[in-house]
This record gives sequence, C-alpha cells and structure tokens, in this order.
Amino acid sequence: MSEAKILQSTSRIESTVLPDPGLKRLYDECKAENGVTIIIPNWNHRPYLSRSIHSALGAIEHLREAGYQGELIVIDDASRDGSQKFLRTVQALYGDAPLKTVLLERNFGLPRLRNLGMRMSHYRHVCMLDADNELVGDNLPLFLQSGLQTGAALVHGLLIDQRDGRMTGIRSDNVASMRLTAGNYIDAFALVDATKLLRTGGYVTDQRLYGYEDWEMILHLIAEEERVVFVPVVMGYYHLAPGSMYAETAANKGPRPSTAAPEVVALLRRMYAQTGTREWDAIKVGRIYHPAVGYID
Amino acid sequence: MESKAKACYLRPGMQTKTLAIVRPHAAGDHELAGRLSKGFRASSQAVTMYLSSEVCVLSDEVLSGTTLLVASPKRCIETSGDESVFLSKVACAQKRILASIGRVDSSGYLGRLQRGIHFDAVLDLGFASQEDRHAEISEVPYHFVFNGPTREEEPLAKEPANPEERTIPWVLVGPKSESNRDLLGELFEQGVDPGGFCLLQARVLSKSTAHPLLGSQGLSAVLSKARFYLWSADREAAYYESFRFIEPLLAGTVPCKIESDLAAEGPDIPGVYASVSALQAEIRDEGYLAMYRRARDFYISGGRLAKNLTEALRLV
Repeated sequence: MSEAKILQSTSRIESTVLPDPGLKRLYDECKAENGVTIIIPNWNHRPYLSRSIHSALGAIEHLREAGYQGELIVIDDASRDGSQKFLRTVQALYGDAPLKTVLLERNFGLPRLRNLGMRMSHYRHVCMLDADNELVGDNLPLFLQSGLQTGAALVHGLLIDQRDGRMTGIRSDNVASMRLTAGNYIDAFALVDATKLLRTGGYVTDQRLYGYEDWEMILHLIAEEERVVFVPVVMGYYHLAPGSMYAETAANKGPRPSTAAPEVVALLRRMYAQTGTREWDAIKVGRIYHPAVGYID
Repeated sequence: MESKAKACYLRPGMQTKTLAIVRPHAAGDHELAGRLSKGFRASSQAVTMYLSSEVCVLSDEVLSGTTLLVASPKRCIETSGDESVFLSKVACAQKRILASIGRVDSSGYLGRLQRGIHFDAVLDLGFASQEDRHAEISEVPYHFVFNGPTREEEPLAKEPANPEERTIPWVLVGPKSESNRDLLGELFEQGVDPGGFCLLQARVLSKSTAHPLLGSQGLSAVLSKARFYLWSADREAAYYESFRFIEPLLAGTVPCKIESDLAAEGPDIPGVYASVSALQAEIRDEGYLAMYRRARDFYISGGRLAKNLTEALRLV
C-alpha cells in the first residue's frame, strides 16, 4: 500500500463515526497465540498516520511470511485534525486488510486507549505503536517468537531515534533492572502479552501518573515477577518531530521520565521500591533473549 | 634512526633464559597477557605469569636472570601496591619488554613507554607492522608480531558448519559510542537486512562496577548463529584491532571493519571497508562463504603465534 494512494483517496470516501462506541461489545476475550495485534492509538496525529499504518501493514505481511497472523487496530481518541476522516478512508480503501478502526466521539486519554486496544485484540501478543512511530516490519516475527518462547509479559527491542530522517540516538536498548525505579528507559513501543497486562489491571489511568503510565506498567510487571525480555534487534523508529507524541510529552512533563516531577518519582518509588519487598539496588530483573540463540546473558 | 636503533639494541641469536609476563592486578590487558601466555606455551618457551604486586616480592637474583614482558605498565604500577618497589624490581630484570596492542602513535602508548620503566624492546601484537609510526616517537627497538593462530585454535575449519543455520545477518556489539551508533544508522540507511543483532552498552564511570551485558560465552553463542561481525573505528586514527578478528572467525563469522581511513590505506587485511555500501557490494559479489575463506586464509598465512613470538624474542 503506498502512502500516496492513501492520501489521494482521503477526500473521496466517507463512513460513519461510531455514534456510541459500545466499547464492551468490541472486547475479544478469547485471544489467539499465533499472531500479533498492532495497536495504534491516535490523537491529532494525522500527518504521521499513513507512515505508522503503512509500517504496521508491512509488518503483518512479514508475520504471514513467517507463518503467523496479524491485525491492526487504530483507535482515534476524538481527534480534531481530520484523523477520523482519514481513517474512514483507509478503512474503506483497504477493507480486505486485517485492519480495524475505532473512532471515539470523546477523548479517553492514552492509557485507556491502550487498555481498550488490549481488550479488543484478537491476539494475545500486542505491539504498542504510537501514531507517529514506525515499525521495522521484518523483525516483528522475531519479537513474537521471543514472546512465545519466553512467556515474557513484555518484550522490547532497540528503537532508533530519528529527526529529519537522520538517526540521532537509540533507546529501549538496556535490560530491565531496578534502575527503573529511578527512571524509565524502556519505551511503551514494545510487544506485550495483553492477557498478562490486563490481569495486572492494565495501564493505570490515575491522573497523577498521566504520561508515566508506561513507566508504572513496567514497574508493576516487575513487582508481579513477570518476565521482561530484551531482544537486541531493532523494533522500530522513534520519530522526533514538532508535534510528535514525544515532543508533546516532553513539553508537558519534561524531556524524559527519568527527569519526571519529584512527586511522580516519589510516588512510583513508594509503590515499587520499598525495602522489604524489592531492595532498591542494582538487581537485574530483565533478560536478554534471541530466538536463534536463547537466553544470552 | 631505525638502523641505528637496531645496531645499538638488537643482538640476534641471544636466547632468553627465563621469561615472565607481568600483568596488573584487577584490570588492564588481561586479554593480551592471556594470549601471550598461550603463544609461549605452544613454543616450548617456559613462561611465568606474575601479577605486578608479586613482582615486588621477587628477589633481585631471580629477576636478574628474567626477561619481563609487561602488559599494561601503567596499570601494573598502579596496582603493584608499592610503586617505587615495583619500579626498582623491574629495573633489576635482565630485560624489560613492553607487550603492546593498539596504535603506537596514541598518547596512551607514549605514556606506557615513558611511565618509569626503561624498556629494552617493544613487542607489538597485531596484523600489520607499525614500525614507521613507532620510529617517529621512540628509539626503543620495535618488533612486530603477527597475531596468528594458537595451538588451541587449530585446526581452523575450512568451512563454517551449517551456514544455513546462521540466521542472524550481522552482529554489532560494543560500547554505546558515537561511532557504533553511526554505524547502526548507516546500516539502516543503506537498507541492509534489518534483522541484525545489536547490543551497545552505555559507558560507565567506574570500571569496577561495570558488568558487560554480554560475556564471552554469550558473544560466542551469538556469533555461532551469525554471518558477519561488524565494528567501526573508535577513534579517528586508522588501526585494525586483531583481537576483534579472532573470536568471530573461530565462530565461523566474517569479521568486517567499517573504517574509511583504514580502507584508504589499502591494508592487506581482508574485511576492511570504507562504508556499509562497500561491504554490501562485497557481500553481493562474493558472498559469505568466500569472504569467510579469505579471512581464514589470511589468519593462517601469517604463521602461528608461537613461532612469531619466538622469532621476535630471538631478536630482542
């Protein structure tokens, strides 16, 4: 599917916004093991949607070639920038593609969107893809294999930071350790086991932690003694651009969660770094894994 | 200058009676010391390994009949426990040889030569002689030693086993440096198979608390499933790190260094590329197996480490 084709078709096709999301009827409680659901939550990121959708559909092709299945769910959080119109077009144009769009009438916020996506997913393994980021589709089967073989609740890979088409850095490239109680360095752009995350209550929607729900989630998983696995392979591109989700978070909450407001750090440390339950030290809780090799560390 | 230095210092045919490798206590060139030890063991040359602190308690009589091969002298001095005693004991030795890997025109190299020990010679372990560069900065006699195969490494497989099972297209492992990050960026910009293994570790301030993410066993396991092992220049000077060549080759992986300055010098060492696109072109034109064979043949062609070390020592 070419980017240009999607954009050219935007003005020609219309469909109806869900008048009442009726969210519960969207839930899929019985999740299959042999594939990945890619979830793109979107709020006013129309300029980037074609790129993320294109990469997600490409990744599903790679899953198929590797003998797996895949689906893409794009959930729009009441955007006002024409994203819903654009998504209706995409849905109409690519009706045969494994693509679902959910167009919400009122804004739910990112953590609720991610929870909704995990409830809707047909597959147990869910790839969280921000609307402005991009998957390296060739590698998604490796991440799925890693999730299936290790039983990890969260599998993360390298993310390449890009600005103006040039690489500017790498993130999510370190194994999970108790250093996470001081600041998050593992992005939400990862493969998660939806059943395990939902069992822990999903992403927290507490207003005090808004913008840090992915940090809380990984600490929560570690506290629940769930496995967090790092696969040293590139999972995708993290695009840094004005108006991108990263830029918005940085503007509102500081550049990185590690520089989060003191009250947020204090709250999360109180919740997850208590002496007596988990020592606040350098214990390594994550593992390095590659399907061709097994555990490596 | 070189011929004068040879005339002054080299006495061909002279045999070393006792040889000892001196290495620092906690950190330093352990890899170098270990490799020298393996090399000499295979050469029937008796060799003892001392920590620098152990040298301090050796008698002057023992030392007067011993040639010391010092790896990482700066760290040896620092971890000896008593700098002045260590230096005086080293001065008592029959001969003092600096064992070196790395560029000879670096500030670190000059520091090693000038840090309180008067060396009688330098043994430079690598794949290409740096005699000319060394002559520009020091009059200490220089001897190049080709870092060839040890007894444990032989026989080297003519062909890597099960090439079809090597599903990892490339491996990039090392510090999270700007050069490695740039190399990763170039790999993706050039559209190389994106399924490579990339583990770049952030530098830590304290070496004593640094735990490598990937130990030697882990790296060997990864290399045994990979086709190409890549690295780039850590610094802006052209140099080929022979130690980075050996482990991949033994695991059946083709060592490939991406460094434009080194490639421009046209070294005899295979697997040096000016850019990722140059590497891609070679992979396309020659393929993994041919590239492996070329690397293997080069490694063998330089002679065994034991023989090379013995010959170099004979010249000291």
